[in-house]
Amino acid sequence: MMNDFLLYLVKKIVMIIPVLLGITMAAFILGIISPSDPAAVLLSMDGVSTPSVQEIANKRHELGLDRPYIVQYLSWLLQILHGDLGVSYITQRPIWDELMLRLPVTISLASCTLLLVIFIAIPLGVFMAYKNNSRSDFVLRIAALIITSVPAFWLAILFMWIFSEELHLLPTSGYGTVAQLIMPSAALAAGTIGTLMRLQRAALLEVLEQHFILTAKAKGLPFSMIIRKHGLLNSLIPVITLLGNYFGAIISGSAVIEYIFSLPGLGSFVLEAIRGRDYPAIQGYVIFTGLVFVLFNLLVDISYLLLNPKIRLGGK
Amino acid sequence: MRSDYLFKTVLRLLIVISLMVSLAGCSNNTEKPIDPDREIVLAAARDLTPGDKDPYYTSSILQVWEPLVGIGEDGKPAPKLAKGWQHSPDYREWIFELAEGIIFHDGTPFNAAAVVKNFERYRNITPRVSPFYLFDINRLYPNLNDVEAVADNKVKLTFSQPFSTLIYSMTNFGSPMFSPYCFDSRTGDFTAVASGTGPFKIIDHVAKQYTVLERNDNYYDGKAKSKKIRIKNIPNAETRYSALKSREIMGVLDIGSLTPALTSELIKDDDFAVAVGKSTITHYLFCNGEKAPFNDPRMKRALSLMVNRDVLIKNFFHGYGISTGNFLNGASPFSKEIKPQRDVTEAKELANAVLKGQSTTITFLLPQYGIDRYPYKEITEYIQAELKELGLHANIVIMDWAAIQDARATGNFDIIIGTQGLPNLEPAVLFKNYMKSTGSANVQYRLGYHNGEAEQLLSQLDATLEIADRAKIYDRLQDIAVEYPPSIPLFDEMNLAVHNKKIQNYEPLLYGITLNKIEWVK
Repeated sequence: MMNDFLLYLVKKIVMIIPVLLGITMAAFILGIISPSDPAAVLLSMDGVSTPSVQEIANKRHELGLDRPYIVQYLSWLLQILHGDLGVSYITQRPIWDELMLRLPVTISLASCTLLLVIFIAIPLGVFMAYKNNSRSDFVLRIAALIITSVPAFWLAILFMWIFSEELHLLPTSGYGTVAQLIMPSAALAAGTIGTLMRLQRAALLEVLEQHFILTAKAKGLPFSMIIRKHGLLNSLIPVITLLGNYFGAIISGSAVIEYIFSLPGLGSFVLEAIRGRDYPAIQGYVIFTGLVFVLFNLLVDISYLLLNPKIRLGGK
Repeated sequence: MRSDYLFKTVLRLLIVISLMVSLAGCSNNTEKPIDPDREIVLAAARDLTPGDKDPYYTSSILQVWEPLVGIGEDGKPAPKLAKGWQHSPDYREWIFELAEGIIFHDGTPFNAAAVVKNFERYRNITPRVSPFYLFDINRLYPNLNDVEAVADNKVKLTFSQPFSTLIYSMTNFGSPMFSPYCFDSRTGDFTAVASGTGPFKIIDHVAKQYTVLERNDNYYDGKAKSKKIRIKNIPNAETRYSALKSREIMGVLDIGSLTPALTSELIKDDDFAVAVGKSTITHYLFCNGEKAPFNDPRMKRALSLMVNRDVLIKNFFHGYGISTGNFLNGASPFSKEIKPQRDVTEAKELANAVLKGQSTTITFLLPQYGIDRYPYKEITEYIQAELKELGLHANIVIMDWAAIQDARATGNFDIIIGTQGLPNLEPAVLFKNYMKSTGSANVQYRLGYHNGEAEQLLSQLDATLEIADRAKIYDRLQDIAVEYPPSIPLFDEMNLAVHNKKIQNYEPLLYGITLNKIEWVK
């Protein structure tokens, strides 16, 4: 059993290598095909200066952009293998430092969001399954549908209007206190809460139709206990898959919410980098978030093993 | 039963929210007297303290550092850390007399040695990019040979070629002075928090979040009114608006502090006010002069005559703009007032002559920053309708600024709406960039501008030393730019100092606001 587990893990880790290599290539190619010249953008970032052709050429040389693409890619790859993500064109600071400056903000946001999702969506999903086809189930299903359909940015604006402008209860922006994370997390979590409520409900209802549940009922166990002890754990696999992917998605995709609430996280970092055609920053970000995604998927795979041992045995 | 429980829970929640609303409403009636030394919180769209790699560390509007030459209330160069200057008859040697008794925030005396060290840094950082102004000693001080301390309070700058407009070039971002102990003059990087001579010093900074300023109690020209000011970084204009409404911040500053529409909306609330001042930014239409139809100067002229600038300012900028027909921004000391002409009949005749009665389709590019900061989308759509009357069917394409630069480089555009700021108080740079056939903007923006008289006048500029004579050339160039526009000016932007009335003396300057004068209303 232990050997199977290790073999499974090794297989998964080996599969990460080509994925990461693919990510580096995608990140580099995206930089090449995106319109505009980073040297020209950089030299005119003040909105006032108009660099000459010669000044742009000098800057291109300084940044190494006049080398053949393959040379640029390979030297960048070599640099990454040495743990160096390069230096930002705009801030002139190491990309790693820039990422580490912003990572705590995004991790905090993602964690708060995930906590909201877990502690609201799963209990409500279970409740909906428990009260299947009742009036409360119907109301909650409608509510889930509505919050899934509302865009996060709209909710963000609505929250800001109610809780900041009108009630003066929560700060509009910034980072450093729990209060500053409430509105962004809620806006970011809302859609997924709706999705997860429905998913949890459906998964649990499917489990509740299994024979072992019928056996438990026949034994005379209370329904709430059947759900708690036997139903919930078995219904968690699709839920965990969604949560795993979702955490990665927040890390890489919370740019709009970060922008609205002035959270200096990874999302706003990459937005600035894209605007300024800061290739090293964009590439560093893609590698970093790609790695986070891959690792989260690995963790999700490992959690499957713990929840359902049949998976590692290939269904044996 | 369960449904009843749910109903009761929702009802309880509503009652709690209602109570909170009521309490929030009551809180305004029980305000305590304001502590005059309480921190004032302001906000800007960008981080005004880029830090150790930036040529200036922090923007001049935070009043941490000061230049040798500043800008006076009349918009002309004025003494700052240099209290006076003299030049040789051939303008190759300039001697600056420095103000005495001034010390940097770190206690280092400001003297000629410090100035020389700063110039040493200028050479070593050239060129260094910045979100404020690119620093390039070769542009600011062309042909500078030597910088020498001739006395403890005197510095001599020697040039290999005459440079009569030096003080215009040196204003503000052209001559920032820092303590020699806060930077490495070899790399140009700051090794500690920037230590200037200004009325404020930086006591805390978290990148992309905020900068905290504390009053410099040893300031030589009267202490700042506020003890502590925090400048928050809030990139989104709507969030800055909400932060003002929720009283989290007391005012906004810097470029695009608040859009004209949000400003108008905010000042409907009696708690807020706006003070307006000149800005160095002008909004233009840049036409591709290398291809039809704008390769014919008559078409540019037709466009200029067609655009109703007053409507743009009144309807979309809520009156916060100055309609202009002058290529040169009104804040320049050499600018003159040129009212824009609007003559629809002549515009149509000119366009008809160029297009020979036909109509054509053109590409009108709109930069994303113009949607974030300004009502460019509405303006562009309005101009699109006006263009139709000239026989031009414009396809509006929204792009980010970098992509627009690429379109410019490849010539895949007909019109771009955008801004241009004054690089400094010396307009020669701007005229040469746009109106000289080899000018960098002319070439790179594909303006296709060729005007014999302008070319001749710009060549004369290099040999014209006296400011009065140069002013005449600038004057004529402004007239030429009306008849043969390199780009079509729409209006000069206004600097909007939007603030809560709980603070006073919040006035706009050419760069920033009167930060050292603001204080809580007593």
